[in-house]
Amino acid sequence: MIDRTGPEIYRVMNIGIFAPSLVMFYYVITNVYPFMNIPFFVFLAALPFLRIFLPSKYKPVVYVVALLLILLSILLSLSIQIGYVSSRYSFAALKPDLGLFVSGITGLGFITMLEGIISGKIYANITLLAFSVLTFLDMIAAIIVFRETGYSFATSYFYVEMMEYYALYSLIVYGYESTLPLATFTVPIWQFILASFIVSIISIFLSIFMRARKEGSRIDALSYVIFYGSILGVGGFYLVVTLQRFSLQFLAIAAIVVSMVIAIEKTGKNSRKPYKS
Amino acid sequence: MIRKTGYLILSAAIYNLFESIIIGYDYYIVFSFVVFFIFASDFLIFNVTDSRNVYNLEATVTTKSDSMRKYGKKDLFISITNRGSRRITFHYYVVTSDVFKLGGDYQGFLTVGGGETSVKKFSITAETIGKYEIGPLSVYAEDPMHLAIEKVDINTRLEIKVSPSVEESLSGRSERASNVLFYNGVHYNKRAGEGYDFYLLRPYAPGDEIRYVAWSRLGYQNGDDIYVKQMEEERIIDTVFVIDFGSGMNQGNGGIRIYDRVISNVINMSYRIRRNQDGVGFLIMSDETKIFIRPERNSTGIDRFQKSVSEIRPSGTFSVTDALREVGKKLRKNAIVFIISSFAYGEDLSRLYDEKRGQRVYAFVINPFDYIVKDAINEDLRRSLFLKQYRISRAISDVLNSEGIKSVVVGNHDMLQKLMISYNYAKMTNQGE
Repeated sequence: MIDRTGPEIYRVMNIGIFAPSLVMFYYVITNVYPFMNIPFFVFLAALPFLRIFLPSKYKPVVYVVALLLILLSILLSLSIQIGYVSSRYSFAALKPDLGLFVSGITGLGFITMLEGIISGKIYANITLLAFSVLTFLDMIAAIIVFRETGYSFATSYFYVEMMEYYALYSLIVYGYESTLPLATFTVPIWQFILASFIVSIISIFLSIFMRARKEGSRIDALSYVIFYGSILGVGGFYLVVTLQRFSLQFLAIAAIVVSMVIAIEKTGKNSRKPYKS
Repeated sequence: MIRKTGYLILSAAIYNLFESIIIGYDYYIVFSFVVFFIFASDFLIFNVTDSRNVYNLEATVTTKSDSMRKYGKKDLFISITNRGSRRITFHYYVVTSDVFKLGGDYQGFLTVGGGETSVKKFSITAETIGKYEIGPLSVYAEDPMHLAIEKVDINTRLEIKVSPSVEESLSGRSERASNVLFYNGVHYNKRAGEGYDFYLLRPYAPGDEIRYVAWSRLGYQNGDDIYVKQMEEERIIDTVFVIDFGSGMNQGNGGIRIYDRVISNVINMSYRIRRNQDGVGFLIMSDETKIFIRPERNSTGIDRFQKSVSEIRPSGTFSVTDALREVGKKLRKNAIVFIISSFAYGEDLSRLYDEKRGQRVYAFVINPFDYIVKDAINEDLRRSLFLKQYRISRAISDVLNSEGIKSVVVGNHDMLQKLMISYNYAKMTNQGE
């Protein structure tokens, strides 16, 4: 039986896959730590490590228990505020303020990033990369808004979120995006982010390549896949950029994705035809 | 066929792509596009190449003869031909019963060029008697990332007949075993005549053979009286084994199957009975199988029995009532009938008494507990089943006893012993015709 779980070497590759998240996390943490509730962030950041060292039967409940503790702590804080509970228990209370909010968002990005690095499954890597990159890009956009506008950090963050939701709304209703947050602002560390995305894509190739080096795999076929995939990817991007002028980028992406999925399904059905001599 | 992992990756890549568009960061968009197209291309290329080419494979499994002995080793050959023009890499494995231990190249990765044939050799070692199929040959090709798979079962089948092992036959045949039976066994009857065991002394009468004179008792009472030894005469009685060959006898795992152990013990016991000059017959029965081998006092019947069981497998249901009816039709009255069954068919056993036609019927209720997998994982299962199984078997045995059928519960290790005890008891109480 082929072992499809990731041995340790894949986890080393995962650091490369998560290079964009790591770079963004560094930028975010160095900019937002004055607003953070540090003990709460440390608590959140410790959870993935706790999962590594706990016996396997306790692993699935770590995040659930952590969430319950956080909610209870917030409830305790609210109870203290309205005088239902004595203030001597305030050491265990989490005040629902900006610190909690910023630490929570950064902690969530950190957890998804670390879980992705630990995971040996390539689909988990890619999904968690998307989650962590999204979280950190939102934070970066919020930092930019915070610096350029002078709004409070919370307002800046919600401003960015609102821009995203409006972009989504305008895509669906009008067929084009009007307010893309990171297309509107210039990201200060764009060179590092670009380099990290290149490292990430190379790491994904290498990770797949190393998995495919197992017995029975066709390295030549893998080379074709990476070659055609890269060409089509860049081609697709330029198509979308070109169609952006006509506000048809959403249509273009939808058409690309749907046509690829249809092609996969159709060729998959055809493959079932038995050989006839 | 795309694996679940493949769909998950494709979903993740699509999500990533739309996410990147919403956030509007160009580098992220390019990255997401490349990731999406790499995985999509992988599926597309696989669908139009290996996924189709795998149907061009043809295979045959061959061997020199289709019969083998239990515990014996047999060499087989797989010949795989690629009828297409493109080279294909795939994994193959031979589908077969778990009664065979496989060795050699029965599975593995293989690359076969267009129009080429590859031959692989593997061996099988049978652990259970019966007729089994080798095949089909299962072949699958995967994409380079192991995210999609195309599996084809190539319809090549070979029937292998597994007859009892040489050891099982010889252990029953050996002189040593038969000597034990002759001298240590019970040879009761109350009739003087030709035999092995001493019966009594009586005064000499003209015409008595000189070899039976008891010289140690010469002149025992008045100095010139002569006595002769009388020997017990052996009475011949036929024994018929009625063997349940319903699906309930398939219980077990790997090399430990109920029907296999039953047949091994029956063969062993048959040779012992034959050595005792008694006839041995067999009725292998289920609603799908009915093989009757008339009792014979030589090994012909046992040989036929061995051949028969190597060509069938337990299937269907078994009815004790039907079996007794069948025995009643085919046998003369005085015979020992051993019914060996798993009693796993929920039959109403309350009217068996009426079906007995003068035969001396003994039933052996098989307790399936001994055939449950013995490993650490199933330890709890074994523990919880132990008493339950025994109680069920015991209850069936009690019902049979109440119907005038002497019955015992037998496991894997005590079956032969209990068969011998029952046989000796039946011989001991045999009053002849």
